[in-house]
Amino acid sequence: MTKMKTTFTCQEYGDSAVLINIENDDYETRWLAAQSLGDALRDRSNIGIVDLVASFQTVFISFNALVTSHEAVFQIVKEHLQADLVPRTPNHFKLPVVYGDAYGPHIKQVAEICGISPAEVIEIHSSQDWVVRFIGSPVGAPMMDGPKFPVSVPRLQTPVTRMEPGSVAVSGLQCVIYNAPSPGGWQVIGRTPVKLFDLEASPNMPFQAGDRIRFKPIKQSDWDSWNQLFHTVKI
Amino acid sequence: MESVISYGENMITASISIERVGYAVVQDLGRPGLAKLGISANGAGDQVSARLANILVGNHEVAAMIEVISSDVAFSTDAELLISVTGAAKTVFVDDLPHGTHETLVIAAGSRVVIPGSDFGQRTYIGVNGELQGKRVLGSVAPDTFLEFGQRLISGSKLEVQTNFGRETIGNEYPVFRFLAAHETYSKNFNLTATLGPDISRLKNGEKIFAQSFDVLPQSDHVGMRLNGTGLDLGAAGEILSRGVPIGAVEVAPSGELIILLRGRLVTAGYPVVAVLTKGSIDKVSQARAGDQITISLIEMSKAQLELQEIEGKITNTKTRVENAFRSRGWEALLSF
Repeated sequence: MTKMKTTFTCQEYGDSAVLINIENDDYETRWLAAQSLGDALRDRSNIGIVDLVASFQTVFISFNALVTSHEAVFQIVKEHLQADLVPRTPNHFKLPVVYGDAYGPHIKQVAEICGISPAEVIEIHSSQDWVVRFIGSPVGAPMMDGPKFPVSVPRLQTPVTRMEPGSVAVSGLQCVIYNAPSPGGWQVIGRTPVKLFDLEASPNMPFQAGDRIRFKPIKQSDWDSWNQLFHTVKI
Repeated sequence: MESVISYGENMITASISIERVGYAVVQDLGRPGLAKLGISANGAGDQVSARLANILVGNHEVAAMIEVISSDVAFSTDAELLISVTGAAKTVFVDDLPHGTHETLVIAAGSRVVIPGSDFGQRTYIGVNGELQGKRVLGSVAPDTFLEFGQRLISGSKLEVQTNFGRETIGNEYPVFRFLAAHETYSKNFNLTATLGPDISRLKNGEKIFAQSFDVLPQSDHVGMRLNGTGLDLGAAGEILSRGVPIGAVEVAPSGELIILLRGRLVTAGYPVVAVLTKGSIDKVSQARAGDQITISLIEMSKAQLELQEIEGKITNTKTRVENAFRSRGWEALLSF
């Protein structure tokens, strides 16, 4: 347990939301502080909080302005940020991915940008754990970082109108999995056959912030055997 | 969001037959509060009009309704219904006779209802007393393209509604209501209000957006409304790490184009946010069509809060009058709020 030595700024973010920026020299501390604050205030409709997104180092909080106010939310945030930071115990997952070809149409591009071969892209991407920093859109998308490519990967010049569900895509130093068909601007290097979001299940998805994902390269011929909902296969 | 509506056992199941429609869906106020699953709020674009549609028929505000976008709609019913039409539409024809919108209307069994699309604004809401039967996902009937979910209505669609209306409530007496509910009227010009966004200082001359008029571009959708840049040089703002963004955020894309995030927005984004529309203006802008003109005025936060309270005050006022009117007729069974 570490005592938090963070400072933070509060900004008004429209008439019904605030944006909290965590300030600290250490990236992990900023992230942990944002996540801890998120956990403490999420689902607190009893105090007028409507929705909340805790990301890398910020917390977005929207509220019912008829019930509470910017000032009242700032006060609650202040109280919570004085609490101790409790490190998370991560769950570990191994996620099968078919890299390249139609499954990862941009892998050659990413390799070229990095000045390495596609095989080396796969090696970097699958030899270390990715840390789930938060869950974002669309639909339960794990936003991850960790392994580092030689250069920061730029976004696609022209966004793709439809990402296939399961697409594993990289941009900057981040990696994400698109669980739902959606437009997107990240470079797709592979696709996982495991369906990572289930509306009928509780929880709806296997990951939460802080969990670790290790990608495991599989052959195209193994796709079908892994093409299942996340809770029916061991990942 | 929990469904809070419960009805008695002796309700009537009425059937609404859609005869003709361009674009309409079964809609409600959406799924707020699910950002932890990366799920957008969605729901009725114009929340105040949607809430009003339900209030005028005695429903709880979160009840399912019909949202019609940029088109006419014609339907008939096999039972007596209590309906309301709010939003952009100007007139409701019941068996060819014109009636006002933003009122409570009694529709006789067998009637044909025609609601022409209006010249201005694009979203019309039809409230129906009772519970529209529709599939729900995560507590809501609202369409979500990422969840690949939604119930679009087409010519020939049949919608069932369970209602207490018509059962011992009205007899042969058809009342006429005049609630005169406060509502917006639309033109090609949308004057919006906004407060300052957190990244305004990252942009050179970011305040310029408050002195310009913008065109709504046709590639706008429920995720974001795109406005033409009109040559604004907003300067490079640098990269912002993805973080949560509110509905109504006015973002500057790298091209200098403005994007207003709407209810289907992804929960995080990384473009600089120069302004955030007031709640009232978010509803208003959802009515803007491609080619309409938009201006954004910067207002103080205290003024934005007054604006919000004023809008809520009007809704509460209408709600009270509807409740009193229904109770005075002995229509308690129709009230869900």
